[in-house]
Amino acid sequence: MGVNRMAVVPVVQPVAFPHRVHVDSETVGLSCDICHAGALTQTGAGIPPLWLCASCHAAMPTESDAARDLKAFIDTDRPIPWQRVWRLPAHTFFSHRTHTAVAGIDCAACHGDMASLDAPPIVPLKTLTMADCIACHTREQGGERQVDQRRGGQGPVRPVSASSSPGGDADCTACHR
Amino acid sequence: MALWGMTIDLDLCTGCQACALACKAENNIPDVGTVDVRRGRRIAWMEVLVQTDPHHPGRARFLPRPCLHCDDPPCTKVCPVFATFRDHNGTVGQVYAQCIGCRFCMAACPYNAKYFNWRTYHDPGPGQNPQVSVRGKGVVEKCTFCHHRLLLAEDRARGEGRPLAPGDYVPACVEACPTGAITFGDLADPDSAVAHQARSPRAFRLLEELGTRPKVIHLAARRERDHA
Repeated sequence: MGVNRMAVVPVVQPVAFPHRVHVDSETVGLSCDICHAGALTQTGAGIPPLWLCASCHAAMPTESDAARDLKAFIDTDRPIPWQRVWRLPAHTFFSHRTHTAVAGIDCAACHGDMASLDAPPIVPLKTLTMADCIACHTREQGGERQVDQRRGGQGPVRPVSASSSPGGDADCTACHR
Repeated sequence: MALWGMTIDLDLCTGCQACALACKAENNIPDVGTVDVRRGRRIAWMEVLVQTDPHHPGRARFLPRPCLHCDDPPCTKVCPVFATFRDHNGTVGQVYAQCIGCRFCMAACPYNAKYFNWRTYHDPGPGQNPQVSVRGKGVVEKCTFCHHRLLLAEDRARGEGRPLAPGDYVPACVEACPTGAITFGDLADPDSAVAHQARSPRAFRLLEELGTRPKVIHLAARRERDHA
């Protein structure tokens, strides 16, 4: 029990990527899935490969430090060693596609307001514990499942004969399979 | 709400074990090794039980036995940590991360359909189904009616904006059966093929007298009666 699997480890990215400039409709106006290509179609959202950055930046002037750092990676053709910020425990299964394309949930619902960031996040903007998932899933279901409070809300989820509604189904084995 | 169930026609079963093999591949079921097999620690979510008769050498009867997904499961009542439970679709689930390995559920299951990981038999890696976890040492595992396939089928149906159709969700054993002995579907739908077969006069449920109300229903072999 000594290891907290949800422990937040601060990370420093190799390039100070500003999400705001890329997402803001007044500047570039990209949608999330242009760079995170799997966000709508796959289990994992993924990080952009170097060629995707290069496809715009190779011919662009390098005004900022971040752009200069990126240019160095592009010129030497080295993949950018992005550090992972958002982690789920190994015993959970999460599909981006199910939540984005199928259920139509906005990325910010779990990831927070990434679009407003001028520097890469050091820690996740929102915590993603089981209680956070359950809170959303039971809300849609009318709170038919109770999270056992004995261990501070992290305890076993006691399934109560639940009436499933499409998309709002707190099915234990959906994530823990 | 669906009530997933299965019928297995023993008249059509040839004992080829395609179901057992398909299950092993689909659900990352480990090979426990000969030493552990001799100790009775084999893991086979779908097991084809064989009955031979000394009076009729060369003849055998086969009975494929997955988890029977009892409607009133004895295993869930003894679990001290709610790691095993009957979900809203009637399938009996097992949350490996929650399981403490006490094996009470194995003792409670009258069908021996639950299996314990006595060791870490394998690690996640290439060649395994990424939709299913690789269970580590010290947890109980069981047939889930390929629950991950239900999730994928639901996703697909929802993406196409239609309700789940019969045949969208089929476990690996059903898909693999070359003789079509296994039928899978919604028992709550009286018009489904599986519900139709469940009403057959040949239908019986294993150890029915215990009151577990299994949702895997076997159809007795007519052949046996003819030869009697």
